[in-house]
Amino acid sequence: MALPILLTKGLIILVIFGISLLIATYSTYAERKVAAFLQDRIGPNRAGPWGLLQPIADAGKLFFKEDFIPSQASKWLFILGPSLAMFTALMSSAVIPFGDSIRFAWDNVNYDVNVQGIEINIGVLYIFGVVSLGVYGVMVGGWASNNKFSLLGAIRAASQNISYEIALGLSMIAILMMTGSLSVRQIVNEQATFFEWNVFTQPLGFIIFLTCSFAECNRTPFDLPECETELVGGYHTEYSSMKLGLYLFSEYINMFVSSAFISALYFGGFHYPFMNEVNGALEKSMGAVTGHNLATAIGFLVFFGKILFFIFFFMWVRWTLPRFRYDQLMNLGWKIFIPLSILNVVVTGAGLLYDFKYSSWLIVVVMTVLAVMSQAKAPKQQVVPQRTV
Amino acid sequence: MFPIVLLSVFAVVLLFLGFLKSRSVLLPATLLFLVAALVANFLDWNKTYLYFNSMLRTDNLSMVFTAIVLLSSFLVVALSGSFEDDEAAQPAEYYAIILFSLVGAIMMIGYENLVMLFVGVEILSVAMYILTGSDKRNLRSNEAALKYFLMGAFATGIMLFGMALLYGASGSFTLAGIASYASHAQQGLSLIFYVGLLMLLVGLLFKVSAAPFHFWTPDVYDGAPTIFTAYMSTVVKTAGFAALLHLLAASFTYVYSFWGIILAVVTAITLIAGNVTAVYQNSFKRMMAYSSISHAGYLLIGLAALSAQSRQAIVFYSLAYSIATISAFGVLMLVTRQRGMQTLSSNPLSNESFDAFNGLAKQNPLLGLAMATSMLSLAGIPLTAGFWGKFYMFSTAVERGQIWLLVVAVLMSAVGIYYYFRVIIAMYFRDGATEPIRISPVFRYVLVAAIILTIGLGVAPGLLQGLF
Amino acid sequence: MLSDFGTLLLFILAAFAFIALVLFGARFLRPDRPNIEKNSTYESGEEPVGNANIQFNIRFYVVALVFVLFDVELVFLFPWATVFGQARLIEATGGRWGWFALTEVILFVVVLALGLAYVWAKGYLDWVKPQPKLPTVETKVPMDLYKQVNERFK
Repeated sequence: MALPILLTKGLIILVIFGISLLIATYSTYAERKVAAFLQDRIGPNRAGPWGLLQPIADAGKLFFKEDFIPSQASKWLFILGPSLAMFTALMSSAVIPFGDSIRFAWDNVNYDVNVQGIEINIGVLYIFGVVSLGVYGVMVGGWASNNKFSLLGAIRAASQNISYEIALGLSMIAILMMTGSLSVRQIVNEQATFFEWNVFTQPLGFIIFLTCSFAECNRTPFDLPECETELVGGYHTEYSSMKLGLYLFSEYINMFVSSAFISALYFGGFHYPFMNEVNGALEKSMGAVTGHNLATAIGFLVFFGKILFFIFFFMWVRWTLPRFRYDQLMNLGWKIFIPLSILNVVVTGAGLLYDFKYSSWLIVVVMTVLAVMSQAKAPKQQVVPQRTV
Repeated sequence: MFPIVLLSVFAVVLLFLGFLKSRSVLLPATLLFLVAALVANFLDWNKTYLYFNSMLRTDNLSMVFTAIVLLSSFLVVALSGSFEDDEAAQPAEYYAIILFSLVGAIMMIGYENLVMLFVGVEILSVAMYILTGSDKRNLRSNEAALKYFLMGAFATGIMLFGMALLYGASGSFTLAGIASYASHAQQGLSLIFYVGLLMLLVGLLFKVSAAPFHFWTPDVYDGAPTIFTAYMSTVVKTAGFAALLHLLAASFTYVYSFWGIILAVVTAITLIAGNVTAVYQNSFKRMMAYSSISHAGYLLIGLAALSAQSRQAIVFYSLAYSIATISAFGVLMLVTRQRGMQTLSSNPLSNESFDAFNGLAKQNPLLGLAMATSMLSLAGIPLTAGFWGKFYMFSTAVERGQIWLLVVAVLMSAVGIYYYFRVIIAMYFRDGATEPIRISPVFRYVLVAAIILTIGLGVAPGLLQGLF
Repeated sequence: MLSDFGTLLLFILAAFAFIALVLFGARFLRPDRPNIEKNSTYESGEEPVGNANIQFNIRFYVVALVFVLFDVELVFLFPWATVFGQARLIEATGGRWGWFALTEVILFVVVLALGLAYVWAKGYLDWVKPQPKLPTVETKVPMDLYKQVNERFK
């Protein structure tokens, strides 16, 4: 009995790792293609048709590159850094509910198996924990390099990640209050009807969560830890070969996982409008087993559509927005997001007690009005040169 | 219970009052807050309540201890007017930290659960580490803060480990639960229980600076700004002894045979170490540090005996000790400030030596009188509060039959007279270039109040009797 | 029977295995010819100066300290958030539970928010801002021309 279960679980783990790695690999390709598209270029097109083999060529290159550990570096921490980064990135995809469930009949009894690595009742807490561990990889690696650029990059990364983690967590709290559960699957299932998707009930939380996940992934406009114009390569200046590969890879996996969680927490996960009708029709016409599985497959594809959209969104932002200055970054995190997310928790709580789920809109409206008003009052900037008289 | 809530709120208010332009609001505000807390403290008088799911309790004893702590801090805060002139000082933060630390002290006084004791000790200690190092430009202050922090952290760790072991043995963090476990002492208790008790005692004895855990005391008292030394040597000590008394009386009376003798030995060592070392000091502040160790010893007599009179004796002694210490440190502050202005000497140590008091009484009779009263009280001379404090303490030892301890204590009080009288001799019989020292009205009131209280309690010690 | 957290252990083991595979796999494929130049610390092609374990801005510590407070706050909020809206508790208390829980948490959060306000007002959250100097130039273009430009593109 134990062995088949172990094998099934092992299979699920392999599939999830495979999916994350595949998506991460092709994200690098997509990133270059998107960049090329946004900058009116062609992008990689030599390796394979449309350059589709490019990521594999890249991976091969990383494998064959010489790998040196600087003589000043502390060797084991130097190796531990990228391993930790990759480890936390891989771990975080464990609790994502990719789809509803796969049904199979055994002795005329229907068994449902969740399309999910593990369904634990503390899923959100788990993600939160693993994500906050992510900063260790960067910090350890940057410190162990014993390079000034790396150290600065690592400190910036740590400081940035912890600053945005608070707002991230507080915006999650608002969702948890509405669901009353820490299980990601349950949060997804609460959003069965279209207008109860959390993006509609928690617009402010969504904006904060989205921005904070940019910061947690060290993506532009929050890529100060590795900004090449100031810090050469930031925390991975000294890294080469597969260790560098692990860092780059973990960044893309993080992007995938963040997209998945944004979709799951705010965009209904594998739900889509009229899903119940479609599911009912499928089960009626094709039988409880095949119909259910087909419905799950559709949900799975919908979920991946959402994920891919958000990955695209990450890239879109990267090639559109310039980088923040460090004081702007800190001001945004501490002076805007944290107070706003605290306010969001309080307002959401009060709204829930009156059975009104959309109270978060109140803040959004007020903030928008305030922003427009202050914009109207602000003096127009003028071109006046300083001149020597 | 009321003081805890009030003080927490007031401390936050004080932090924000610090943003006001003028600093002169802070001192009266703090004094007002302390009085409010003191009044609120007595709202539960003659009633016994358990608060927060039996985490804290208030009864008359805890209220009296709370009152002593609040009174001492009132006096200390009243003496702290010099912050207004000091550019680098951050009075709002200091006062807020003092109020926060009082919350910790009150938790230590009224706890019913070991976790609460731990929380209280930590709140009080962390606040003390900060206050010790508050003179940021002074290297001695920094060193003292770091020393205190490192040692204090270890002591807290040991104490926490002791609590964990007690929990492991008895399965309870509450005092009542531990007492019910200890009541089976006849059948034999787990060894873990005794080890846990020992470790808990070590942690608490460290906080009250009893020998052999007293080595931090002189350096820390010496390095800290004098005003905070006064605070530390009174409030922390009172709270620590209240905590010890409550702990031993509520939970461990059944195993007295185990810890009684240990505490008695610790008491003897503390008395000898404190008094004998104090004789050799040249700095008044260091002498006061050792004297505070020796007073920890006297207070420990009541604990080691733990008889019916112990509660009253400890309350009386800590009150007498607190008042005398605060007024002594107040005079020291005035004198050193005056000297510092006169000579601009770069060595602050010389300002705190006994010579600084030479001829003080001739030009400043009030300061001389205040210092003399507090020294007499600390030495335990009749007609001062200190005499009756020692008297009650010794009578508990007699009641328990610990005659050898009594002999040590009496001998050591005789030694104590020597170094306390050095100050009095310097003030009254030596010549020195002393000018009249300007005393601000608040200072004057505090010193006069301290003199009256000390003499009053010395003449009529029955005032406090029968209160609890 | 494998519990959920047992599966998590499998996940951890698999992740370890993957990382080990990748790192050791690369080891057999890549060349290994280190020399002093390659192994020296990168400092933009110059000779590296000193050690990299240098002092850095104290503000990073302050941020870390404040973060610890708020992270602990978050940890306390997680369990609260799950019981806050529970219909069973609200019904059992006739609707009072929700308000009680909300008031309690507002008190809790406000204390920490006051802390944030204190840190903010004290200026511990302010980072050094760059102060750009406008270049002063010698030019023959008359001032009116700039005014005209500003007028036109207002």
